[in-house]
Amino acid sequence: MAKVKYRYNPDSLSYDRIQKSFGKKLLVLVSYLVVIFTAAIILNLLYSGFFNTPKEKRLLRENNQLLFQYELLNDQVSSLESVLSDIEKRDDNIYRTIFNAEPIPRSMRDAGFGGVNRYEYLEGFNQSDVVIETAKKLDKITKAVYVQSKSYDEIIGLAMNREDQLASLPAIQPISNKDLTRTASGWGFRIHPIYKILKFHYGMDFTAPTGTEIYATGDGRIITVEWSRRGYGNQIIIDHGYGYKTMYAHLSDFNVRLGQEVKRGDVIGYVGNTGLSTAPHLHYEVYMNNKKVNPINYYFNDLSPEEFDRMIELSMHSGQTFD
Amino acid sequence: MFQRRFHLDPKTLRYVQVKRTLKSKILIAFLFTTLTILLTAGIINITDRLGVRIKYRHLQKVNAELVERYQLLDNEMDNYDRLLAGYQVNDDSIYRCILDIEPLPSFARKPGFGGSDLYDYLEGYASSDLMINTSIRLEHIEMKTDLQNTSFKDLDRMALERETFLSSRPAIQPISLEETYWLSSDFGMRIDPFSKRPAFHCGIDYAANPGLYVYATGDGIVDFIRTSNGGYGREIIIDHGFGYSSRYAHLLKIMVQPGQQVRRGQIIGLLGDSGRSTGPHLHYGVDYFTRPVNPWFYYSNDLSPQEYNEIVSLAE
Repeated sequence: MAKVKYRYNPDSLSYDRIQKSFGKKLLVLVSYLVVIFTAAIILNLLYSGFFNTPKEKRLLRENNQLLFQYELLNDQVSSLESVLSDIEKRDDNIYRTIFNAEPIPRSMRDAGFGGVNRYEYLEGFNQSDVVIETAKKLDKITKAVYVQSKSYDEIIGLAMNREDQLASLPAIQPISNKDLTRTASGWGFRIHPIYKILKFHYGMDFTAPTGTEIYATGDGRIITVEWSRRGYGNQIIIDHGYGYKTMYAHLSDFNVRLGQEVKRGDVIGYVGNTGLSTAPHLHYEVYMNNKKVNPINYYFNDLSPEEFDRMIELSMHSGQTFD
Repeated sequence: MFQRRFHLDPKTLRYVQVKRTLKSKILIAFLFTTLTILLTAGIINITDRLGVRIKYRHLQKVNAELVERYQLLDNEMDNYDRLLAGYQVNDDSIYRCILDIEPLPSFARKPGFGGSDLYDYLEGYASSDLMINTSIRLEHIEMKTDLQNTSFKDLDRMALERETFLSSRPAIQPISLEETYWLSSDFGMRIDPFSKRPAFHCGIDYAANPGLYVYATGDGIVDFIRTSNGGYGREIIIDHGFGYSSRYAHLLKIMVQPGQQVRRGQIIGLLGDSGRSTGPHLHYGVDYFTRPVNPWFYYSNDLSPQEYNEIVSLAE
């Protein structure tokens, strides 16, 4: 029950009745609401400034924990990194001591197998899984094609009636050396590990644990099986015919007898540390017409062109031999 | 602006100014406040439920950044794993192989799974798995790293020891290859030139002109020198360490002091005829843990006279 209200009009000196239209009433209501709303929003902001909603509380707690743990882990990582750099220095030191050479750059040592992700550059794109898979397949096919073409080469060779010579030629590495980590020191001038003077190294050294199997690198006949505690230590010489001979030195034991015929890949003996040797290793020499030649040219059945390149670098790198 | 309002008092028929009572004022204020608070609570509730609050959004952003940092940490750890794998290859297939020691057993490299309740305090969060997995992975990498570090520490020491061993062990002939000499007596049983009876000869005799330089055959320390009229006459014994010692006897002159450090190829005396000797010669013997061994096995015929001279000049 609204009372009728009047307003004093100073012009007419009389009281006029105040008429409130619906629109005016609405305007009043809306302005009230606006005030309430504004107040509510201001209060809201004030609330956010001093309090957290349950959801915010949970998230804040989580973030705090994440940050706390992260900082903890980060501290661990930085101490880890200092240990890792220590390890790197030690690694280089040991390498220098053993090989008497500056360490091979890590990138080169890791190249090849399992060490690095060859498809890294493809990562991070949409569909990168598919692209990487395809690239891998393509690599495999390329390799298979290469192997296939190699075997065609061999067939052509066989067709030329040279199967015997092909089988006799030293053509593989004398020990299993899949990732080439056994390659130690190659042909050429090297510092002698004992005398510490430059001497020409007429063969190739493969470091491997004592007892590692040694393979005949081509078909042939065993012409020397010698036990010795000096020089080359226990050694085997195989005559492959066609002017080729191979020599295997510092063996721990033999698996063949004098005069025995062997096939390529037969186990003829075991790696050792006999004679003038400073580490368990195989010293391998290839003779052509009684002259020592660089064995690196006689692994062609074994190595892909890339592996061959890497082997050359690896075998050139070491500054010191092992006998 | 605020106009005074009036209403007509029906009793007095006068226009009376409208005045609000205190009660009504309080009532209005109360109503106003209640409405405002209710509205505020409503807004807070709804926005919280919808997750659209500014603060919450901000916290979510922070959260995403933190999770991202964990991902970066994970990437770094991939890197460490790769590095460690490389070191392990060096350790197992190169260094330990060359130093002739067994590789570390694989169980030594496997991280232990002991303290899994170590991370109980990280349970109960939305990112618990992320935090726990990252922490455990880092812990394993730390263990691997520590193990590698210890292993390399040992290998470093052993590699140096091997160097010392290689330079210490007798490995050359005690007289220059340029000089004329002949082996007058080998290691083993022989007829003693004085008693004419079989006796064990625990060294090699090099017969040559008196006054020839005699060289140390490996690095070491002069253990003692002795001069006597009989026996070995003027003799030097060098201790090479690692169980090896070498004896140089019947010298004309001793050119080192006891306790002196000598290097392989260093001149230590002159060949002579002192002691129980029938002519100028050098008696050279090698002992391994005080048992005489054949010196023949402690040098090779693979040096040219020039190369021998190079070794000698290295010692100077």
